Amino acid sequence: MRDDELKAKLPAAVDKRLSALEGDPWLARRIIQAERGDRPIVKKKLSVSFALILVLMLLTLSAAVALVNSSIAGQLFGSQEQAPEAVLEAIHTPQVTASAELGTLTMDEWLYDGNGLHTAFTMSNPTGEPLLYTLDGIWLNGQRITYNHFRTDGAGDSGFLLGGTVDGVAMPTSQSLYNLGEELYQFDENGKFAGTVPLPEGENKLKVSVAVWKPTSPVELVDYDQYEGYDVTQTKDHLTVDDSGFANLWLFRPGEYNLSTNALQIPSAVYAQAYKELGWMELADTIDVEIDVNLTKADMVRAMPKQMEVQVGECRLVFTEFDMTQSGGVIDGWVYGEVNAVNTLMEGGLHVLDASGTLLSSGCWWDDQDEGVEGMHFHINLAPMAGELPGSIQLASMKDIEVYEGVVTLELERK
Amino acid sequence: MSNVKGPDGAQMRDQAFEELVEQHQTALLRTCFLYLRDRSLAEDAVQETFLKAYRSMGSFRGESSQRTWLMRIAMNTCRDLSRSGWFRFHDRRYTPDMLPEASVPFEDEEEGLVAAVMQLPRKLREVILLHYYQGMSTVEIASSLGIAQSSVSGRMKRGREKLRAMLEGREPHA
Repeated sequence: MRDDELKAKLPAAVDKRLSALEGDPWLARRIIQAERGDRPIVKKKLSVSFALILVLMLLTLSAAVALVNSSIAGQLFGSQEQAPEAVLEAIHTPQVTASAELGTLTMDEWLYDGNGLHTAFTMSNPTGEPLLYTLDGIWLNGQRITYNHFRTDGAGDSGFLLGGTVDGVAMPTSQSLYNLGEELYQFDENGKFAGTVPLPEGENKLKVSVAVWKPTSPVELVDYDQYEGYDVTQTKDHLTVDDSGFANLWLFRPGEYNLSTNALQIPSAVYAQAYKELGWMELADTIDVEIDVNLTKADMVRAMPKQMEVQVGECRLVFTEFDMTQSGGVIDGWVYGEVNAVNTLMEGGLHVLDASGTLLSSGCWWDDQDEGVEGMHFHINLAPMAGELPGSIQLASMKDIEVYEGVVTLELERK
Repeated sequence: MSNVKGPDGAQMRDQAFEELVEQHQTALLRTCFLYLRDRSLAEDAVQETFLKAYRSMGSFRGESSQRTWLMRIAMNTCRDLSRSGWFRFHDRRYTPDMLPEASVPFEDEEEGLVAAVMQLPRKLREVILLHYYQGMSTVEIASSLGIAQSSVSGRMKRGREKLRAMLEGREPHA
């Protein structure tokens, strides 16, 4: 496309096609007030569709929706039947239940594959009355398993209404959730966020905590798909849920009740007063279930390359981490070479294929190779694989959308 | 935006900040959306960008334009977000029907162009957006992205070539 053509067309095309994306008129004021400490409010919001995706992918972000198959095997492979035997054998099924007057919380399964801790658990409401359940957190030895610190979670984000009926629609009496936690949050002695650390291997205590809320005004049944974006006029003075019992807790919450949380805080404690004042619900109880877990990589067979350095044309690849299991894995490394050669190789990222050309990686990201910096760092995530671990893989450049060209073959060995 | 102190200074700074946000927020939101290809991430990026801008307003030395300075913060923020755990699972494909509904009429050609830009590899998308949407010069873009001016020119040329190929149907488009 010509330079003058793009200059003439792109601004108008973007501004018309994205005309619905408008700035938040209160953003500046909110930031100023938050920075002054007038109120600890930095509103973060999620689109409804994004909240649903988060629930399905990473429950450390604490959005939750009904899952057809809540088992770990179901999440990774679609169904138990499609899961490799080795993965099924590595999944622990403690079936430990914590019971309280207003509900039960059962730790159904957990799996550690060396890269993350998968957990599946079930909340149930035996009372017959509608109660809302929100995830307060998942901890390992008292340290919170990671979630994106830009977002509120748990009581600030979403929950599930279990039991009773809403507008004539029966709510489920239990909900099973899946989570993948990959790191732990660290805070310094002043409570300031200090980064993340890997999950510790060996004996650990795993705890899941759920908050239970009683609605204090009639709950409204809504279709969240009907609502897009942020609109200050769309606040409500009562709780809303959809027909699966999923409750979006931020969509209709007035701006002044958007509270910032971090991994040191318990979301239900942060939001209890807000929901009480809003007339939505009152915090009634919390339920914790805790089990002992022994995190060991020996639970899963792993594949690694026979060499951790390989030449690709004019570039040299050095792997700093290479861990492949049937439940997924990671490849981390650096690309060295002349700048143009490195940039050409990495233009579309690096991807992993098996011998038949099937894509094994689920994503790749990489840093720029800037002037004066030696090498380009890259990180590849590997997807769960229903088949056996391969004896060799191809690293491939992406030549076009979903068009890969193998650049080097790596022989793998099992450990 | 100079380094101001005292209650009057704080008030002036806040006023300058509000003007900064008002002037740049919408275009920044649309830029971040095209970069990240996700509305909620884009909104996070905008908020984080302005938060960082507010905190560093006192250290802005005026050596670059306000927009260059803001775009540098925005691009770094978008890059950080694009490396977040969530992004690993992001589907690289993008189709026009995934774009948010528009509030004004638009032409099919315009939608196709926007979708094509979103399909570009990240490094090409960055410079295309900063030059052709934000109207920044190659010098300003090089400063914002922390790369050589020659890299900016090269990426712009490759970006235009890819866009042309996509729009002419010679490359798979969504």
